[in-house]
Amino acid sequence: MITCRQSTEWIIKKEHGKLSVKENLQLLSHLAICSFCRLFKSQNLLISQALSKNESGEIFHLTAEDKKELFRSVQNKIKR
Amino acid sequence: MIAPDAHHTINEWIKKYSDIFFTYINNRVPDKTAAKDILQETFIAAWKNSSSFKKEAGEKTWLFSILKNKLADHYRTQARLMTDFIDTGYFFDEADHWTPQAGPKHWDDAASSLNKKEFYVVLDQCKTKLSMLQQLTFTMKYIDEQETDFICKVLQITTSNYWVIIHRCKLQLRNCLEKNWFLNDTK
Repeated sequence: MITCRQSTEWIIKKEHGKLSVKENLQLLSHLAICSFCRLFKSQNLLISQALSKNESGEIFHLTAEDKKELFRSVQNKIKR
Repeated sequence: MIAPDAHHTINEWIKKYSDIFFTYINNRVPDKTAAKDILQETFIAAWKNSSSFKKEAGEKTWLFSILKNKLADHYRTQARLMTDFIDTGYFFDEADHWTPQAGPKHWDDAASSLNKKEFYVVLDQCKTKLSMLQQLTFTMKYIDEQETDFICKVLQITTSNYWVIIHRCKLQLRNCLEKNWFLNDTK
């Protein structure tokens, strides 16, 4: 029987399609008896979704001063 | 003095793209000073390589590809400065099974959290608690959606180390979200 440490690592690997058939069978038999790991499995998926959605779509604006500074530095580096 | 056309072109780039590019960088590199440096490097490299610009590709796409290279350079330099220690003692006991305090608890309304702005604030806070190497690996995987091989190459880590890092990140994030969001009554 695999451990919860192993099981949680494999749950993540499986999510990315990196689990062998044998490992997958071992994982499934662990999940059948471990409610913690079953919870981990569904929560892990939710977190992955949240992570890829995380780009808020909010735009950071540089201040006019920032832009001037940016222009000056770019100019200086090009001159050299 | 630099040539007037350089003056004009760079001014145009900054006007048109600096906010979008800065946002893109900032989502990946939260340190504002570092983010500004990357933006600056991008425009400098673009000017120096302007002969490589092909009109069909479009100016924005072309600049974006330079920006992505500069970001990868940044990741590489950062990765060289980092080490990571793996301590999952809090999560698992001697037999490597969940400890009662760290074992996952049931989350109510889990899916609807993804539509709440406040949830992402908590998520961001939880991310800042990861080590730099973890954050970088995570960013490349979940925001840049890079392939494993590429990430390992840039960060100079082995594939097995990579999975250890991702595993550790997920355990920590899950725990942090559970404590500060899902089991927190103020949500």
